[in-house]
Amino acid sequence: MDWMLDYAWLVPALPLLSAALIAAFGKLMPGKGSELGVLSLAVAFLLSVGIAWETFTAPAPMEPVEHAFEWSPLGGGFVIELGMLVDGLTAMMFLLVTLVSLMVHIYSREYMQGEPRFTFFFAMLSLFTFSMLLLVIANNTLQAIIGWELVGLCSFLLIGFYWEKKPNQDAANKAFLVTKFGDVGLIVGVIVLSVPMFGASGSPFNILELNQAAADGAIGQGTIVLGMLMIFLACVSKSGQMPLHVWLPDAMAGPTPVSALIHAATMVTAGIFLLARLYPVMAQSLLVMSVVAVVGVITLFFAGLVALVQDDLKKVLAYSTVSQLGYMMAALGVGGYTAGIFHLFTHGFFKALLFLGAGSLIHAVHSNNMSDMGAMRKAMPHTFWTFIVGSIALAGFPLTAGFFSKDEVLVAGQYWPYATGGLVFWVGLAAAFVTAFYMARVCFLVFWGESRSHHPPHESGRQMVAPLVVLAILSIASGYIGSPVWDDDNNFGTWTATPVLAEADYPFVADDELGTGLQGGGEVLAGGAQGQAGSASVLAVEGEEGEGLGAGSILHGPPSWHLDVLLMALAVFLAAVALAWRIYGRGKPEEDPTLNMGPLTTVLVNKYGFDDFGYRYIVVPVRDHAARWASWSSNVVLDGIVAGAGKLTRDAAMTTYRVLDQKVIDGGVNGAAFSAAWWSERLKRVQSGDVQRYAAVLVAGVIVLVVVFAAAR
Amino acid sequence: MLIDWVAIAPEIALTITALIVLGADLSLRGEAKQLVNPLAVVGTLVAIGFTLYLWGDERSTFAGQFVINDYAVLFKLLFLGSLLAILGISWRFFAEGRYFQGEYYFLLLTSFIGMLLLPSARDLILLFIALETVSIPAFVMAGLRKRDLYSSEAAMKFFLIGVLSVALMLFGMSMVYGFTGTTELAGIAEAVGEGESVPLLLASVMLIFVGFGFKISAVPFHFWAPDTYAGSPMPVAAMLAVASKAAGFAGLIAVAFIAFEPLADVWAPVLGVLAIVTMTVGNLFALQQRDVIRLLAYSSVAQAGYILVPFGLAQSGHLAVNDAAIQAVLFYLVAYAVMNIGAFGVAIAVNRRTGMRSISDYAGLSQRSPLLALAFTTFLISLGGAPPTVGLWAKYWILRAVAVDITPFGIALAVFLIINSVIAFFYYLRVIRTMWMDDAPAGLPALQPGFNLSVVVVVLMFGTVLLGVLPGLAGNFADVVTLAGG
Repeated sequence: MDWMLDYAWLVPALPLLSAALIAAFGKLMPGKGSELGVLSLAVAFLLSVGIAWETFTAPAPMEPVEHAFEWSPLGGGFVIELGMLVDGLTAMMFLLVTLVSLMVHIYSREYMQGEPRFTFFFAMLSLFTFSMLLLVIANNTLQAIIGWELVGLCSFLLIGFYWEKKPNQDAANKAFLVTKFGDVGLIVGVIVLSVPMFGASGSPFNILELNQAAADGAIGQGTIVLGMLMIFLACVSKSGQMPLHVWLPDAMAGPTPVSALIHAATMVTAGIFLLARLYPVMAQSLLVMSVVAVVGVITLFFAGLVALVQDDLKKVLAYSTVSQLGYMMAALGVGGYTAGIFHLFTHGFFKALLFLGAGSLIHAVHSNNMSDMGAMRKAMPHTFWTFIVGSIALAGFPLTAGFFSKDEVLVAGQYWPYATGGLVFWVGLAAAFVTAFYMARVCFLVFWGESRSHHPPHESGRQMVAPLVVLAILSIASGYIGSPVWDDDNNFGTWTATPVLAEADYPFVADDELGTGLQGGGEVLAGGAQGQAGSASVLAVEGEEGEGLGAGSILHGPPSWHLDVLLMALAVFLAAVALAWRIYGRGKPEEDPTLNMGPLTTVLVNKYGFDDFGYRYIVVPVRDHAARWASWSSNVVLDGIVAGAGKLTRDAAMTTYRVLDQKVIDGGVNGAAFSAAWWSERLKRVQSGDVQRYAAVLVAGVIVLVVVFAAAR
Repeated sequence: MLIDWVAIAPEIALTITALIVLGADLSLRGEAKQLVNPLAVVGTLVAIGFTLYLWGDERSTFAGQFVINDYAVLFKLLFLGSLLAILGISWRFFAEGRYFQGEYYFLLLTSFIGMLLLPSARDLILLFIALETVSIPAFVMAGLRKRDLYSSEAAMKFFLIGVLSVALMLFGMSMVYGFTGTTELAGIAEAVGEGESVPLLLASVMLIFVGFGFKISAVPFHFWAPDTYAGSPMPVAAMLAVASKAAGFAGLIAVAFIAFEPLADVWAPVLGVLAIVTMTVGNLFALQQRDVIRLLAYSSVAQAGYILVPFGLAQSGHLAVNDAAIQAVLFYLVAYAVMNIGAFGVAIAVNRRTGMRSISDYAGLSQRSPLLALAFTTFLISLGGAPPTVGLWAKYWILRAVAVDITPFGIALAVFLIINSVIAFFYYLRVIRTMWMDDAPAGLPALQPGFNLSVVVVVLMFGTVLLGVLPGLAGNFADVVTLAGG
């Protein structure tokens, strides 16, 4: 089975192949090309399973498998690679991306039935998947940029899939521009980080070498802070962190399967993945970690609140995604490497499930709005049950996937000896309440109460329900891979660990700060704003966990049960659901109290005014002022300069012309641009077609050469 | 004297093929005459097989007059590859024209036998014979369309200028023999290195270079080229522009870097100036052309100027510079063969049936045949030397040779090379613009390039881009060949 790792490049290659084949021959095939996409993704998925098994069972930390073509066009240490890097993190992402993409492909066959551009849609879907996999498999940052940009391009094309409608074009443009803004950061960051690697390494953009150098302390703090903050900017825009999340809810304009793909597997996770990939670099700077954590915390809480007031089912899920991405960011920012990507993994399944479920509902009632649904559980039992499973997983009901991963994130906050750790724990817990509440709201409004649909709803067909069932099972099961039921040698943590991470530690953590029973963490909590939280149980759990870990080491060791966190999460969940039942149990959306909270509702409905702010202070000034100013400056200033220079030149030329007689210089004034044509015109006459003259010129040439040559001595 | 049959196996294979082709032409009638083309292809493949077998071998026969080393094998592969491509683009052209198919293929193969001999020849006599074996069939081929006045004119000019140049070369050779008492290249080098370089010896060296200058169409020995290319059948023009030119360079390398290497300090500046004049004049003429074939002809004159640049860098006794120069020439020749045969292939496809050959006839080619337009664009961009094509690296290799030992003259050469590349882009891009941006005139018959030609064009297009992305594929071979001597 070892050979599978060497053939990991097939996983991104297959969707690329199918994209090309669908684009070329899709229209000729009975399934209009969709069967090609499903087939290639199915094979890619099976390969991913093999790779995942191979990496999972390997003794941890697994040595990464790396193969690359090197291209050194200029020599001198400037090596560009096209390569693959396979370790647990790659395998985890492969599994997630190929599985979700496969489900989306199958689901879309029915969902997109009868759409114009059906074939184009599938080609794009495959290309989108390929782009993400190219980013995931990248062994160097340049290749990662290529994948990253392709992801952006494909998302643009798919979000604007119904491009006949103006709002959809706007949404696609918005997504493209906002993420492009961040991409500038990625390019700058990659260049900054490559500078110290020139000369120090055979390949300045290689990720493994970069991580190793950073862990060895070979890269200066200034470089790391600047480089990683720039890359983080890109991750903020791609992974929808505040304040650059504004494109994500609008991206709902695309077909629902695309939303599922974007929100679960292929786009928003890219930022999280990239930070995880460069985690050893990021871990070198407390400043970077803190910025990441604070942005994550802000996002996870405030985006969750916005989800409360949405009527559009997909928008609720969109803001929920923003919020969950905040959890992942926050986890990475407080030292929870394993926790962050574990949440990424589980979230991928249940969020894909929820989106596909929402798609099924929308398909049935022809509306995105919950006010048009209600009592759907009777008409659509399969959608109902799977959606409930996805909801409780997202809400973190104990023993579902979301519970285990969110639990890990909160625990990571507890470990972290700095103020951001406490912040992540308490705000994360509060946001868990919000999450449970808005998901309960959605479920009650959609599935209970009276039917408000204008069409008699009907259950979706087999091709749409089957992915829902598969994802529902995984929404429960995927959590156990990172839960304490696995043994200490092979679990999610050891799977995704790399040798660099296993040996690295945080340089800014002093030896005695974390090592002795984690009182440091306790003190921070006790002394923090949430002082009453320094409960004995929290400290006790930390104490147990702290044993056997080196001071400041990055990996937290095997997972364990956190009874206190479990109880808190359960309490929060039950409280939220109970509250939601009280309010929405009758399924009367018009009495929704979240819409009657006065100014707070206004703020939330306006999404804190980010869009308005962006429109008023960025779009309008650029469009009305900067553009006008640029136009003015180009018309008046630049033209003036050009005209002035032109006049000056002409005057000079005229003076020259008058001073030097035209006959003396004979055509030289025609200027450099014309001299070639001029000479060309003159020389043309030499090629007269007269062979005698040719011979004469030839002999003359020989004589000149011979004389010159002989005289040279 | 024992003859090393293995060493000359590729030449023998080609000779037998040529004879079979001639016989087949005699015995076949009508449509069946087309079969000579596949016969020639098979023979070429056999010769390639023999040549590949010789890779990495060091052999010598005919008392050291004929050697096999990596340098020679690389050149032979270049020639045989070009032959394969030219056979591909010839088939339909000659099969439809119905003129002298058998003779054409026989002459083509004979000419290539001469080419195969050239890089192996280490003796002035053999060198001369090989060069004439290349030239004489080419004279005939240029006039193959004998009822066409232009074709006859092409052949006549080619022949007259050719004979004149060769006479001068032979005169130079005889004087060199008089001074050194030997015709072996190594022996000449020895004698020249020891003896005093009298002006007459230098003059005779120059006369020998003139013969090669004719073959590579360097200014002022280039006048025949545009008229001949335009008048002769197009596949013959492709053969003259690429293979025959590469043969001239193969001979020039042998003479310059083996026999007269001790005099390099004297001849290098002269060839350098010739390079500058050649590329500048070639480009300026090309700017004026309305006819695509003439444009390609002048462009190939300019390309010859680029390839001459490394000769201008040579320094006697400075091994590193000379090796870098030879490598640059080799790499450029490989690149040039790929892109220029491709360009001629497209021109043939467009010209077939309609006889269209002016630049304005290429308007809207992108609509009529996107593949051909894309291929032609690739080849032209590559001839101009822009990424992502092999043309970029060909120029880069020359600049790298300049950088080995930086001299004022080397810098001047590099500057002229760069200026000329910019000028050249002007006319290459003009053709590209016409193809993609202008509308096709209505009522044109559909283009039917035919299978063989399409395959050749597509393969060459991929080659152009592949070598552009991975220049190491050819660069590594050029690196292996550090020794032109043998």
